[in-house]
Amino acid sequence: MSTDTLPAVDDLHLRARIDRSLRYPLLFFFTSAAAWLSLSSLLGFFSALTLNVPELVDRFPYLQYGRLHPVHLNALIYGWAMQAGFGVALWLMARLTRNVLRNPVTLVVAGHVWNLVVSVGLLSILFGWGTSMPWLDFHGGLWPVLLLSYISIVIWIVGMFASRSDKGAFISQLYILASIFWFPWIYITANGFIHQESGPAVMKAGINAWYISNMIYMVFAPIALAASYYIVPKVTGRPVFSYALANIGFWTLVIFTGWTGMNRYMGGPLPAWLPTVGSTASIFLFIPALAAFYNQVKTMEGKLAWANYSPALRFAFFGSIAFIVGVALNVIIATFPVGKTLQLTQAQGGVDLVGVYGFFTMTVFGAIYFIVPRVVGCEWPNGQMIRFHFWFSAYGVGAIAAFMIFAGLAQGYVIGNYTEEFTTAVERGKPYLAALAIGWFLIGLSNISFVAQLGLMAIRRGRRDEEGPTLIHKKPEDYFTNELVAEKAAQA
Amino acid sequence: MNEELPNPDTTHLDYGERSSVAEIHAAVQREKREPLSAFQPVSMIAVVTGGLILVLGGTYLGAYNGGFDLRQTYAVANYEAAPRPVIPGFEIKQDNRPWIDRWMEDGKEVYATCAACHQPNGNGLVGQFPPLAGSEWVNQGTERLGAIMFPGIMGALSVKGQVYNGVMPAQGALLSDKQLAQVMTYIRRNWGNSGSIVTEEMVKYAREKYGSRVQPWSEAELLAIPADAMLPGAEVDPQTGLAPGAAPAGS
Repeated sequence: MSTDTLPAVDDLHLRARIDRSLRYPLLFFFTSAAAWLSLSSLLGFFSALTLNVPELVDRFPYLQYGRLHPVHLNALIYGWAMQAGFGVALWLMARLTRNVLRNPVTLVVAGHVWNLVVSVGLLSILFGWGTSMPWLDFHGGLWPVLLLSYISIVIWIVGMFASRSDKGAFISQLYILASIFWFPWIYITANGFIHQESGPAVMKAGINAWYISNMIYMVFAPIALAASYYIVPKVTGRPVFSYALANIGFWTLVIFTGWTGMNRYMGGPLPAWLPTVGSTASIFLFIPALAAFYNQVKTMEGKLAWANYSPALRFAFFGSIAFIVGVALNVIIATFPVGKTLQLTQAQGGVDLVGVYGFFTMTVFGAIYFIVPRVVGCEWPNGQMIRFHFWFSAYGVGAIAAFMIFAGLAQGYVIGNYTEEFTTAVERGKPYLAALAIGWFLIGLSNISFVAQLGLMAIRRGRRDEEGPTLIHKKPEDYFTNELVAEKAAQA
Repeated sequence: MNEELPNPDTTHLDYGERSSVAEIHAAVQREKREPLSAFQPVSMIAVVTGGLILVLGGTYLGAYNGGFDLRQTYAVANYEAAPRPVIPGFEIKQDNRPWIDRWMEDGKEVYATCAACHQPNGNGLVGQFPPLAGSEWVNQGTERLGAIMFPGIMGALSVKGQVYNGVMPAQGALLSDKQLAQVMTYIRRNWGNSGSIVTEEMVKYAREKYGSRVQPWSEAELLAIPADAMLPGAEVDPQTGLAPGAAPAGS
């Protein structure tokens, strides 16, 4: 194994060329995604504030909670998460298929179209032309443009896969392809059903819930899993523990996710078996989550402590744990015993956020910490700021999820009690939502550090000394190259 | 460790790059080979865990599937809705009067349309609008009365021995079968009249037969319909509104 871990010289040149070919598209996607993320954190903070102190925006109807909150959420989804996903998927696919990107300009142009549509969509919500369907709030005429822009971006990733030299496929490639083919399907289906005039309104809400669930588990989760299935073996220099387990995890995710979602309206005026099938599939999602986690832990076995040093490994590992936690919380809220209290409250948003932020976003942070030094050719300026970013994000997302679930409990008991008025339920949630503002404030602080570092890297003002990689803590004796040298020496 | 590497490509340098250091950036140099997969078999404990998850999910599906019935919205079999709560100020008033009283009450509401000409007391206006109270057209067979509702009447018409020369507008397009049935019952059983009950089913028949007629009736044409002809339809029990002998709903 130790001889395998040192790359051949030709391979080194190829990698350097791949990375350089991807520099501008990746920097474009990552920086614009980070900008949307900052905006979204700010609006998350501000919208939690307006819910508690609505007098703040008395004179500005455009900034009231009902519009600000969807803007915050859609900026997080389409501005940050989708775009960061593009960057990570592009780089992983190029590296794994050994393809140099031949059309960086096309990608950057398509990326501009994407950002333009997202901006127009967010403005349409602010001006009151949104659809008020969660995660699909943009004005009803925008989705074909957004879809075209999506296709013109990911088509190059599919092209890379089609022209790969090695006919096998690493597990990360499967995950990326699954995500790429899933999004157009659910996006067309959801928009097609929701924006047509006819059809039962209850079913539209059900399809909306199905869309959200599929976005989390089949569009975002595969990208994050692809990244951690790449980062963990790469950083530790080990092969993925079990190919069979990885495949089981992949196919169970693909098979079960499409059934989830309707469980959000259990007990509602839908045929009872639809939500129940959704709950069952949500329970089954434990299988892919545990498979991925077990595989990663076994791959890292004995080198778990490296997560103290490598930013990529630490974020990816946090993400894997958050995936399990997210799936577990989703099972709790998706099944009758607790779900009947928590459904239709803030708790659902908290559970979704564990998937989108705790799992996807944290893993993608790790991937970005791994990728960007390679494409720009300098190191992250400051390890301490990465540590700051990690802890504030981790505590921030943990606090937000916890407070939203507690708010859900407080509201759920009121909603379930017919003698109480609905406004009482809103009132009960308020103190927790004040704490929500604190959570978004923490996340906003952490993202200031992230955006500042990413900005420095983008203008190529990173570290250029001989110290090696930027680590979270000072590196131990046996870390990275030193270990390889030691292994080599032991073999010789 | 790769300082001595050849540098095959010096033409694509970006700003800030020197060919000596940046051709293969340190991050690329130090990184390990692209990941591979090892082929550890899936352990027994993983298989058992997966199986347990499947059983758990299956149990849930079995317990809450509502029989996979598209019209069943209660997930739990034999679900019984909780008794309706009594909230002060929101009491739901149960109407326990006989069905015919409620039918007549609704008919009275519909009659507001007719009352402009025929007057609330059903006596009409002397010389202008014929009375309904005691009118032979109202009290005889329901087929004539039903026929009048659709295209209306134009020209001379003799009621209770007096000739009226006016226009009765068509009502069929404005009122539903149910409303027509209610108002016909109302005028047949009010102000001393004592005709039979008219049901929705009967009006439906009348609408099918006369609904497409545009030309208003003349007296001669109406007289061609037998005076005792009734609109076909099942009789109903005035107490329940159902067929006589049927169990009343909700008992």
